[in-house]
Amino acid sequence: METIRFLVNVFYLYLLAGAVFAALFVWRGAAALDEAAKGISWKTRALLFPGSAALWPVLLRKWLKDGH
Amino acid sequence: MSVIYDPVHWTPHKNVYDKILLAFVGLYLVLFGALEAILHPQVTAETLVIRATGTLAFLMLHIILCIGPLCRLDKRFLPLLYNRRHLGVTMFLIGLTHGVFNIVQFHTQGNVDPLVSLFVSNTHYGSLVRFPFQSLGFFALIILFLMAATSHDFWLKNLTPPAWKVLHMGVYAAYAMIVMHVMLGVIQLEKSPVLIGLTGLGMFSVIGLHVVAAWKQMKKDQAARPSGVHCPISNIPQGFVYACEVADIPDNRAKMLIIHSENIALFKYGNKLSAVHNLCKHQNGPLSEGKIIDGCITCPWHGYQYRPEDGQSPPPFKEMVCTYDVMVEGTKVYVNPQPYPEGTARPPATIHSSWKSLEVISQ
Repeated sequence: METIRFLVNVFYLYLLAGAVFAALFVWRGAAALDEAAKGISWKTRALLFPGSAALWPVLLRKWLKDGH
Repeated sequence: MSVIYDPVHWTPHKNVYDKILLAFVGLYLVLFGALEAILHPQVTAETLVIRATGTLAFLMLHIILCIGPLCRLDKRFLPLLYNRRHLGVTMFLIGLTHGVFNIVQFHTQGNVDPLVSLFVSNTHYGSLVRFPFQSLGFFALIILFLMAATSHDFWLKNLTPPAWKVLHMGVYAAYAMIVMHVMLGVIQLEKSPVLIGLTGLGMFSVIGLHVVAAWKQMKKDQAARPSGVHCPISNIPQGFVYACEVADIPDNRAKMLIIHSENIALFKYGNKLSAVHNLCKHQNGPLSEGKIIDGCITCPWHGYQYRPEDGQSPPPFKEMVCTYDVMVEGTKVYVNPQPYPEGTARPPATIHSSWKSLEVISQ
């Protein structure tokens, strides 16, 4: 029970960090990584939000490495 | 293939497809609700939603998994493939509704966190028959979420096509978990032979279609391997392999070739022949099944285009595929399977007019 509670809390923390990161990423990061994401509509940003929140460690690394 | 990403790249076909999809979803839910009201009038509205969305998502997942092999067996199914993304996202949303209603109905009544409750309400993790089937559904839903959330072309490009493909092959892991989720759910709660039979029929259809399509693809790949090895004729340069006769390739179409593990699309257009890598940069669509439109190779799946002579998408697009050297000797076409880097211009081989005339006469 305690192990599961701990893992579920880690999961929630991951999602919370992902949500914060995703807000920044769809605002600035996507365009820094991909020319075709410059000037995208708010609808497209909203579509990119869930994936950005879920894959935030991968995107953060890519943003720091390849972002311009 | 947009310069700037759109939320959805709408086409008239997609509009029609989505209307049919929504009509199907609506009709299924209404019919399921009516049937349940007759057969099980005692069920609550929440249970009805759980059952309707669960069965619908499961049915849609079967349809999604059958589309790929069906398209390999019969090209008339291709329009379903072009629009499979919307079907997948809709299926995920319906599955999510099923999951949320389950958690709300069964795991929010106590003082334990709902997700913790989901994993500890049944702890028979060591038992095959009494295994907690809800946890399997949860993990399957996570995979389906990742797939739906990364279905936009932005992800395909930025995660890279191979990584994106691996992520989306997760649908098979999700399917296996959902089959177990359904089977265990039926065994532990419903004990309905009809549901077990229908699940078995679905599995048989998915596996059977994949096996038949793989067998057909294997035959096709064998046919695409030229019979000749490196050409022994003295005037053919080293490295070139006999591919086919000029007449074997229809105008503005291609022949697929597999030479030394290289998957090549050999196109004939006008009196020219060019060869490019067979897999589209977008979603690995088979370029050899496309045709030349407006002077460009056009992928049959989503219309991505490449110039045959250099494998580059016309500006402002930036996709590129590898190119290969081609030569024609008489009526025979030879290809060098050594690929050039993506987007490298290679002069097309020219079909001499006399041979072109002979080809017309022979047809």
